[in-house]
Amino acid sequence: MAVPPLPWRYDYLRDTPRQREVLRPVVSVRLVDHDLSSPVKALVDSGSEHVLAAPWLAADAGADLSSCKYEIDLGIGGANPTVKFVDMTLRLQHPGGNDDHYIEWECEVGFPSTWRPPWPVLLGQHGFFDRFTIDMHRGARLVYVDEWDVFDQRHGTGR
Amino acid sequence: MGWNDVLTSIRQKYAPRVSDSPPEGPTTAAHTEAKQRNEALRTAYQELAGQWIAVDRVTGAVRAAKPTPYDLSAYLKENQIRGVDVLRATDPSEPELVGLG
Repeated sequence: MAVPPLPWRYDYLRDTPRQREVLRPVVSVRLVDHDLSSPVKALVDSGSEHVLAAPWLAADAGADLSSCKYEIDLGIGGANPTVKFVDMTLRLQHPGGNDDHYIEWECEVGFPSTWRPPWPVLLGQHGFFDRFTIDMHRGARLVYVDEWDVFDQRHGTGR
Repeated sequence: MGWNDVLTSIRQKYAPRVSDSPPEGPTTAAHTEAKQRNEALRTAYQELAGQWIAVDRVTGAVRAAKPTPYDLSAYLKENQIRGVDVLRATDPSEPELVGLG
């Protein structure tokens, strides 16, 4: 069966309510190295420069962090964890639930030494936003992932 | 119009729109649909707080829960459970995270 064409539409994820409802823009991804990881929810975070993942996912995907490309300290929530970066394959899963429907690309993924969030992956600028056009709408509670050049078709280069 | 009336008027005009009151338009139907799908996950958060859960990618229903992500991933692979996504059910006592926290 052919993979459905972009755009792909994902519901926002409802987090534990606080003063008001907390909604997270998420998509579904897997990491691929020597193994294929389980699929996980990934937060779409335009404010992050990097794609980051929980340490357990490195083991799950069979990635060897002892031979990482480089490691740097990042500022995350007032702490400065060391993050090891490796090149691996990132797989975006179609929201329809068929695991055979996906898009893959090579990507640099950072693994911090510790991880607190409930979502196991964070998708930032380098590795995700430089691969697709992303639309998010709080009112609709939706994320749309579309082709890279859709932005130019709508807006031009903006210069 | 008194000063209090002016203040009330300004507050009403610029009050933040809560997500339960979406704007009218084509996005409204999608909003309602997503809200219904998320109900299942809300219940899971209450009952399985702190556990790692695998939720159905389409319905949001919990298909498996384990104390650690390692246990859960092993279980999913062993039982060839497909069409799910893994995450941790948050506990209401946890601080609300901004980005990675």
